[in-house]
Amino acid sequence: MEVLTHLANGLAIAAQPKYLLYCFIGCFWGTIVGVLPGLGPLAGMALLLPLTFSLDPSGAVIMLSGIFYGAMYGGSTTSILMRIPGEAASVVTCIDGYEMAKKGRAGAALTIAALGSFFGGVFSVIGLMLLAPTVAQAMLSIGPAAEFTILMSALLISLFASSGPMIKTIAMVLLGLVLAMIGLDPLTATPRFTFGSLELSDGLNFAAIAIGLFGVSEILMSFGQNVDERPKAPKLRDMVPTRQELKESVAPTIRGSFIGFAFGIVPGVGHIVSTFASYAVEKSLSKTPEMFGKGAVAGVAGPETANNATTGAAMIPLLVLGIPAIPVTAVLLSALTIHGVQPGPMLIADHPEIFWGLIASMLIGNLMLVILNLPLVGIFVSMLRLPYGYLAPVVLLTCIIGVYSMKASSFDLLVMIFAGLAGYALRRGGFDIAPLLLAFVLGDRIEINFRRAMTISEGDLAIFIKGPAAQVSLAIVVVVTLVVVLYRMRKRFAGGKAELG
Amino acid sequence: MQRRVEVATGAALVLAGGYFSSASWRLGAGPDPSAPGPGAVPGLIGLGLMACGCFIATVALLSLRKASVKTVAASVSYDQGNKKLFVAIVMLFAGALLLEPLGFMLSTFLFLSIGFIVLGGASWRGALPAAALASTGLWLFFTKLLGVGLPFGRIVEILLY
Repeated sequence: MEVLTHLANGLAIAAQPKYLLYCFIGCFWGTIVGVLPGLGPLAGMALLLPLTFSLDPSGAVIMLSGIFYGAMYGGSTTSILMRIPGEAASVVTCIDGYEMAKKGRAGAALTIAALGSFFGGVFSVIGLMLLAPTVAQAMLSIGPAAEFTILMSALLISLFASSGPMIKTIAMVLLGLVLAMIGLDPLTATPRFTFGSLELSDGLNFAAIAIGLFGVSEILMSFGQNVDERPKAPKLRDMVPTRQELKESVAPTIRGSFIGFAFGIVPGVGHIVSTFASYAVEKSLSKTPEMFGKGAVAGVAGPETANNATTGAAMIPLLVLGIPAIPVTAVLLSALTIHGVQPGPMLIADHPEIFWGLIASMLIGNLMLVILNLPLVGIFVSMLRLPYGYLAPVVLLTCIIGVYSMKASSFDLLVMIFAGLAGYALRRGGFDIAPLLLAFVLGDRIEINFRRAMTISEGDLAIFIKGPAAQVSLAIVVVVTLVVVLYRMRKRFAGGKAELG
Repeated sequence: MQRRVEVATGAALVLAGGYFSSASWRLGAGPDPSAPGPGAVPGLIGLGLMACGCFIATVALLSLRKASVKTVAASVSYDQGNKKLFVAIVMLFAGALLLEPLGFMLSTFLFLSIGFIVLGGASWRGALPAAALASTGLWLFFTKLLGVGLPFGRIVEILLY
C-alpha cells in the first residue's frame, strides 16, 4: 500500500508538463541513437549530459534514462530491417528479425519487438519499485571496507561481461582507475599528476572523457565504413502481427522479462548477456528449434523483452548502492552527482521525488516509446537515409558545444579530443573501452574506501571479506566466474566437436 | 594493421604506467600499510598497467613476426576513410581552439561548411547555406531553448566595443 502511495506521488511529479517534455525528448533522442548504427545509448547520453545541467536533478535523470531505454527500443529497428544492430544489445534480434523481414513480416517483427520491449520495460520498473526500498534498507549499515569489496566486485564482474580479451579489459580498468586519480588527493589534498596545471587539479572532466571516448571516437571509427543499404519503412497495415505470431510471442515475452531482470540486477553483466541467454533458453525450449535463425517469432520476442527488462533492473545497483552496473548507468550516476545528489541507500529517503518520479516516468516513457516506435517507425527509418558525411560534422559539433557549455573551458575541449583519439586508437587495437569509463567513475570511491578501511583495520586486509554485504558480493563474483568459465568451456568443446564433425 | 596498433597501444600503456608509478613513488606510499599515502594506490595501479601493456605489446609483436602473409595494399575506400579521418581530427582541434576567438556563429559556420564539403562531399553552393542555417538553428536551440552560454567571439567584441 505504501508503495502505491509513493507511486502515486511519483506519477504526480512525472505527469507535470515539463517532466513529460524531458521524458519525451529523452525517449525520442534515445530512439534516434538506437536506430543510427554505431551511436549507442552511451554516446547518446554522453552527448546530452552537459545539456541536462540547466535542469533540476529529477528532470536530468528522467531525460537521461529516457535515452537509455529509448535506445533499447530503437536498436531493434535497424536489426530487423537491415540486419545491422543499432546498438550492441540488438545483435541477437538481427538473426530472426531480419529473417522475418525477408519473409515480408518486418512490420510484425517490429510490433512484436516493441510490445515485448514494453512488457519487459514495465516488468523491470515494477521489480525496481518493489525491490529497491528493501535492498536500500539492508545496505544502510555498510562501512568503507564492504563498500570497497562491492565496488571491486562490480569491476571484476565487468571483466567477464566485456567483449575484448581479458588482458586488454584489465588494462582498460587499470587505466580508468588511474585516470580517476588525477587531481587533488581526496584525503590529503596533495596534487597528483597535475603537471602544475590548475585545470587538472579538479580532475579530468567526466563529460569530456565520456563524450570523447564514445561520441568522438565513434564518428572517427565510422570513416571508411559504407552503409549502402537503404531500408524501406513497412506500411502501417503490415504492422499487425497474425494471431499465431502473437500466440508464439506470449511465453517468450514472459520468460524474457524474468531473464532480463535477473541479469540486469547483477552489476557488470548488462543487457547484452541477457539477450543471448534469452535466445538460448527460447531455442532450447522450442518445439521447433530448427526454425531459429530462419525467422522464429520467439527469437525476436524473447531477446527484445530481455533487453528492455534489464533497464529497470540495472537501476537497482545504481540507485540503491550508488554503483553503476553498466557504463550507461555511470553517466546517470555522474549526472546525479553533478546535481549534488549522491545515489546510495539514502537516496529513496532523502530524495523520494527523484526516485519515485523516475519510476513513474519510466512507466510513462515506455508507453510513449510504443507509440513512437510503431506508427512513427517510418520517420526513424528515413533518418537512416541521411548521408553519414552530413551527420558526422553535426555530431562532432554537438560534442564540442556539449563539453564547452559545462564550464566554458577550452581545456575540457582538448581533453575531449585527446580522449576521442585515445578511444579511436584503443578500439582499432581491439580494446573494449566501456570498462575504462566504469572504472573512471568508480576510481575515487574505490581509493577512498580502500584507504579508510586500511586505516580502520590497521593494515589488516581481512577486513575486506568480513560482513554479509562483502561476502554476498564476493559470492556473486564466484558464481559469475564459474558460469562464465563453464560457458566458455562448453563453447570450446562444442567448437572442437564441430571441427571433428 | 591491428597488431601494429596493439604494439603501439601496449607501448603507450607501459609508458603511462611507468609515469604514474614513478610519480606515485615521489608522492609517497605512506609510512605503513595502516596509513596508505596519496601515492600508494596509483603506484600499484601504474605497475599493473605497465605489466598489462608489456604483455599486450609482446604478444602482438610476436604474432606480427610470425605473420607470413603480407598485407594487401590499402583499398581506395580505406584511403578515403583515412583522409576524412585526418580532416575530422584537424577540424576538431581547429573548432576547439577557434571557438572563443571567432565566436560560436563564425566558428560553427566554418566547421560545418568544411565538414559538409570534405566529409559529406557536398558542393559549396549547397554546403554554405546549409551551414549558415544549421549554425543559426544551433545558436537559437542552445542559447534560447536550453539557456547555454556560448561565446560571442573576442574578435567581434573588439570590433564592436
